[in-house]
Amino acid sequence: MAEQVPEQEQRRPQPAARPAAQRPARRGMTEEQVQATQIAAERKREAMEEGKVLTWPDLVYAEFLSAVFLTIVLFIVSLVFNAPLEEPSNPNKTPIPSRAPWYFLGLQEMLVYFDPWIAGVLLPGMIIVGLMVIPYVDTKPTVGIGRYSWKGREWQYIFFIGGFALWLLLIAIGQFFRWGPWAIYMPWEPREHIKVVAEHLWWCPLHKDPPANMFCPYGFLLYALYNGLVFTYPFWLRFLHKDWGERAMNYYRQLGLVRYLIVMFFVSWTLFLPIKMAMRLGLFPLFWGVRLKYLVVTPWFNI
Amino acid sequence: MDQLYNTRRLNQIFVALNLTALALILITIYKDQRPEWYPYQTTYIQLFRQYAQQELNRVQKELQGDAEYQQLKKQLQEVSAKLNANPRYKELSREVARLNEELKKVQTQLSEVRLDYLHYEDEYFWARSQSAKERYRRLMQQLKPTVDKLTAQMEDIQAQLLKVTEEFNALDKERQELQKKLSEKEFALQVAQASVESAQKAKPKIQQIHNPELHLVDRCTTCHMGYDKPESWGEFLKERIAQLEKRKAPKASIDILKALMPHPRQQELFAKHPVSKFGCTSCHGGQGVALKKDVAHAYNEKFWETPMLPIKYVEAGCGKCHRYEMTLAGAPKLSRGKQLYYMLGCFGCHDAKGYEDVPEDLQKIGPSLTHIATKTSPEWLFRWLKNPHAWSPNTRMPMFYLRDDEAWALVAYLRHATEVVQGEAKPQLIDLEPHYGKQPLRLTKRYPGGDPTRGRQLVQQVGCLGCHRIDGVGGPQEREKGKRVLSNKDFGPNLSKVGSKITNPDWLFNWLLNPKAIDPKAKMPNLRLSDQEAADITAFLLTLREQPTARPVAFTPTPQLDNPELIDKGFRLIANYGCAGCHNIPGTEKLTKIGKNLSDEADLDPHLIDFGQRVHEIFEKAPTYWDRKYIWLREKILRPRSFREQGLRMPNLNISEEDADALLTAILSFTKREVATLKVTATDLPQTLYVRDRADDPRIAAISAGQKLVFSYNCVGCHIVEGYGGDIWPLLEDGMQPPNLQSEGYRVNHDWLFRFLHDPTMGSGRQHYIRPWLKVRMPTFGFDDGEVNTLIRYFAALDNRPIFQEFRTPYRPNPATAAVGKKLFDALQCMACHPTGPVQPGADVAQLAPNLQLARERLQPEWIVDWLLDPQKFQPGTRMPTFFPYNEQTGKHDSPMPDILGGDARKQAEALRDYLLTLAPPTMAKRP
Amino acid sequence: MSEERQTPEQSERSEAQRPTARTTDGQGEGLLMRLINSHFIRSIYRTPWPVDRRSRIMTVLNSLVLHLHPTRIPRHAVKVSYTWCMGGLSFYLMLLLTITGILLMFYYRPSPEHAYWDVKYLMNDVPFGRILRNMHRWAAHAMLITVWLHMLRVFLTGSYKPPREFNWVIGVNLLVLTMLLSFTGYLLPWDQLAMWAVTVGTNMARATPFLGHEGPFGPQLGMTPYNDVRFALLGGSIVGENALIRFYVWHCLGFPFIHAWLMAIHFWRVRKDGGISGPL
Repeated sequence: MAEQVPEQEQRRPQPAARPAAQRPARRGMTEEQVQATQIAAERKREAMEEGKVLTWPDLVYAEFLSAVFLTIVLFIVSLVFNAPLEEPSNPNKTPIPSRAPWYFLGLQEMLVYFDPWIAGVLLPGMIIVGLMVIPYVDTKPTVGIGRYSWKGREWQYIFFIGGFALWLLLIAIGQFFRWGPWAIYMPWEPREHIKVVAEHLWWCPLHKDPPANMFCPYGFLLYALYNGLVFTYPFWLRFLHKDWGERAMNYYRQLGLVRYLIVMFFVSWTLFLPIKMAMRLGLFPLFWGVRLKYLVVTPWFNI
Repeated sequence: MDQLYNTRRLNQIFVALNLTALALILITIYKDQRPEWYPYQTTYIQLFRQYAQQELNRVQKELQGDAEYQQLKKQLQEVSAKLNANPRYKELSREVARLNEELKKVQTQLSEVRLDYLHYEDEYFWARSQSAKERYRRLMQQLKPTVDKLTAQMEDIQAQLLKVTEEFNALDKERQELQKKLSEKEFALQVAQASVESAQKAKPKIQQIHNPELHLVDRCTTCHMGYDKPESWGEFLKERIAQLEKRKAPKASIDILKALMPHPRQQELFAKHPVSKFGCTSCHGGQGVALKKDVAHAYNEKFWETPMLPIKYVEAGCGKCHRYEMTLAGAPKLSRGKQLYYMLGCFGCHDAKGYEDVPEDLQKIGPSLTHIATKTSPEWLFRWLKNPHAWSPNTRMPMFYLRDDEAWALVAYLRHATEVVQGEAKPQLIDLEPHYGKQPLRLTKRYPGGDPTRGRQLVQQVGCLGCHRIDGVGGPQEREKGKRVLSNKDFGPNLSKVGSKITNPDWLFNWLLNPKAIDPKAKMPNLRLSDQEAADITAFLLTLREQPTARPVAFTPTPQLDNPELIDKGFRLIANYGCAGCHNIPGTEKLTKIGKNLSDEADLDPHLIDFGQRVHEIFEKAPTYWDRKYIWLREKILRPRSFREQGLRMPNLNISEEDADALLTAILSFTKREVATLKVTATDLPQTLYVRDRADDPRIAAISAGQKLVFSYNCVGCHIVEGYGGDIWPLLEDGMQPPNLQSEGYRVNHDWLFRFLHDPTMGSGRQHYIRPWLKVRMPTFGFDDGEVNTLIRYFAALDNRPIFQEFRTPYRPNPATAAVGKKLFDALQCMACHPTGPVQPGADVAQLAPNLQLARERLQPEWIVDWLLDPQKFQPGTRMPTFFPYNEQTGKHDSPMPDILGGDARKQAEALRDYLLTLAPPTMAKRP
Repeated sequence: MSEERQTPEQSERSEAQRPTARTTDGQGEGLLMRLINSHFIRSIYRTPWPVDRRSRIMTVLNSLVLHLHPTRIPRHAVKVSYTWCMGGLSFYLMLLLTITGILLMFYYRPSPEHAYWDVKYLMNDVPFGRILRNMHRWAAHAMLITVWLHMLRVFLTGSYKPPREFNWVIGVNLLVLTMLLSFTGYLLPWDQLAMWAVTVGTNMARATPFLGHEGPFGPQLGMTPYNDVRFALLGGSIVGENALIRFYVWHCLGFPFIHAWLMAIHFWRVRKDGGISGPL
């Protein structure tokens, strides 16, 4: 190994560190971070030269074999399992249940807990935009690239995998645990039996029926309180735990106000989802067995 | 440069994967070449070759054994030999051959030259320059002589040929005739040979029936290859199956043979429903496009909405198109089912397609309950409501499983709502519909008392037994003990215990004299009884009482029937159970049918059926998915309330299993799925094809409406209509039966029929107008004009006569022909059977026939001729002799009198007809 | 044959021995190699069959399909345990779907009268039609799973961090497009499952705020069932023949074009941003 280094150096002279003004500015990073990145990149390049293999045959052959293998698996699956084809479509006959394709079952499941404009338009839109925003609100742009690193990216992992798991959970519920009029069915219960669903819902906090002039102050207050807590968490967390509070304030400072607001917006909605689900299901003792249809009620829309 | 992966290892994986892929592809291709239907076709081809050969051998042997054929062959040989010996014949045949060849040669030359000539001519016309024109003209000129010469030559040869051929044919005529006869005989042989050839060449191939009109693509015949083969093929297969079963061959191979069996009743069915047009799925259901047995039969396919019908319900497939007929030839189960639907009054609760033309008056099959309280006692009503079948096992009233208090409530309501005899005070109670008070019951006559013995005689003679059964009097058609068979024999109530039921003799007396005075909508007609006759019959009926049984009938004591709450409860029960669907009950006119509309009951999907507490039982019993539906429907018919403890209202009809199957067949034909709809342009309303809809076809409408009337008034109780009915015939002596109404539409003048149906006595005052010797009476039904017209159109449609009034010049008999007819009339001794005066007592009634003086007024002129020529065609089994038998050889009818009118049977029959139409109508002597 | 790393002298020697392009048929080698290095085959592939470093590099560089890859890649990037192969498989499945889709288009007519029956014929009568349709359907479901797993992998390995942020955004767009492709294709069999699934799906569109006739503030802005965003999607107020042809065109032309364009950018950016991510 050692004797290679001089050769490499001969072949490719090390560039001198360029003056700051000439260096390409890197987005979202501080000066130190940029420098650190560049040095690290150099070292990496060197190491990489050692560790590089030819595309042909290693990558290409492996890719080809995995493609052939996938094709064979797909072929066998196609021989054995038929794609479904039900009765000809009939607008007068609604099937029970009528289901969205499996990848949208998460959204259909969310319809139970939210109004259509939230479950069908707002939440999917937020998921997509939220995903796209991820790289731009990243406070650790140098940590954990190119490897699986739980340490150092704990919250990133938690949020992403948690969200992914929630999405998969909703799909699983929609696919295996729902039938008939979208009632809960255990997988072993006979599907011929169409259950009769009887739910007793409260319209909003402390109101059994829709309130007059369609405004519920309690729900509004609760929602405002929740959002207030989420959005201002760096400021009050220190009273609970000094260390955490400090880290939170650091995080806030790193992000800056705009990015912080964006991140908290998405965090608030992400956390709100399971909370609203629990409210709808009336999980005792959290909500005293009361099933809540809406939290916020306004004359124009409900949440 | 090092590598990450071990190439050798990767190569091994590569080879392994590719070999797997190759194997998969080869297996798939192989399976595509040997699909599920392949063994069916190979077996069929193999067997059919054997069969064809067998048939060929059989035909050959037949021909060997056929003496005529052998003789013909011998004759042909002789004649041919003789001819061949004749030198002139040989010369002529050679000449003919030579001339033909020459002709052909000349014609070929001519056509070539002609072509050139035409070419030049064409170019000449199209040429622009003079020089070109000139050139072509010259060419034409050069060619013309050749053309003319060849044409002349050809004509010459043709003339010669004509002459020679004539002479040749003169010699050859006999041989040619013999040859022709021989080929006719050999036709079957040729067919058999062609069959053998095609069998040799046959190759497995997908068979498909395609009819774009019906959106039909049926591939059933790919496996069911033998469907259109004759019965002998079926016999052949049965032998093979027996052989296989003896050898204990696997079930699969026996099943293949069973699938190749020919379709039953091909003559009957395929003549009117050619398979190339209708395919298989139009009648049988199933997934025609599929090529796998389970997918095609679709017994377990949840998502194919028209699975194959089980064979025992296959006639439901007929009902898809034949929607309005209640009697469909060739589909006995369906006919029975549709008649049952009507007879049991199912449409009193359930509307269904095919029964829209039931007249409103007749929609309620039960008797009117308007005056029930005057007729019978509350105790009897209670017993009846609790269990009608205990009183009258063959009644159509179903069992409602009422509690005692419910039954009393109904009794209370009926008693309250019924008009009671004048004079009795009516308690003012709940505000019901202001119905009663409009038609108070007036029993005008008092019962004077009568002679039961004479009454019994009258009952047996006058025709009561055509609608009513009376145990001990009704003859061998009494019900078998314990077996409940519904038929129109139970159209009227069973009178065996009527004396115990009717508590008011006046009521019975008045009813017998004139039922419509008591109930204007009564189906019981007026038998034109005299007061004495009615009194005798009343006396007899009152003697028919219930046998006092050892165990008295226990029921709760009669409560206060004036209780308003009880009466109100009764009304609510009537609304709940839909009694108004079958009975006219005062106060219930606004109530609607309580049952589900069954017009698309056949389209029911099992996963939408409420099986209630029997869900597991039915799911276990059902071998396939769709069987759940059939089993549920059948159970619903037989045990309607067994699915839930409470809440179901359909009563128990108490019908037999066979009747339930028939009814189920009819219900399975109630579908909204049209067989085919056609849209000429995208915006057209779809027209339904193939369905015999009464909206499109007045004949169907006429038959459908007429059948409903015939079943509603129970004409089939006395008469045979469309081959059904005649229930009273076995109870009467030969010759004393009411006429068979076959070909009535062709036989009688329709305006005569109109008058007859309104008044069967035709104003003569006598009971019998046409057949004076009869004792049974055609009653006066009191039809209105609409009903009479419906019946007339019905009979007309059955005989393909014009349904709507057609004005015709009345037929005027020719006096000269009539005179000849008189001679024939005397010669044939018509008067021996057709009397003109009253019947002599002691005459053999079996020999009597209608009075011919009625012919002018009553009979259609064309029918008389056809009847004379062939009476058996119109009334099979009639005693009218066939004077003019049909001669197969000449194709005409023979005449017993060859010297009159040149022995022409038709002319003689016409002469007879003319004479008959000159006979004066009978004088109407008033009956004493 | 596993090759040892060559010294420069050795590689020079082999270089000299290497046959030049198009001048000779392979000499002194087995039949297969002679075939592969024949004039005809070499005119197609330009580079001889790769046996040494140079030819391996050249093969990748000279190939239209393969030059997507860099000629050399870090070891860890080849490991399946790193990338799970998800990106490549997604692309491969896309190709498979395109091919099977085109073959299916021969038998399918996108009108309500014909659609269902054409699929029925495919399943029952067209030779290998059943396998073709099944492959298309299962490949579509598999592709959704692979793209989700690819997204998960990219996140877990931090391969969205600078300089790869925009590629991530393009990836999310590709994800959305994949789901839309699957959704539009779901309608095409025109059976109960398809029609009602799309009904459920598009019914959510009528609840769009401002743009849907049942969404908050929608009716106030004049949205009716006949002019809102759902109408635009379906070409009507119900899932009918207009929706079918629209979805068909989106599924076969519209979305594939956009998808192809975004994929091109995606692959380009992968190379430009430094290849498969690796530890710094």
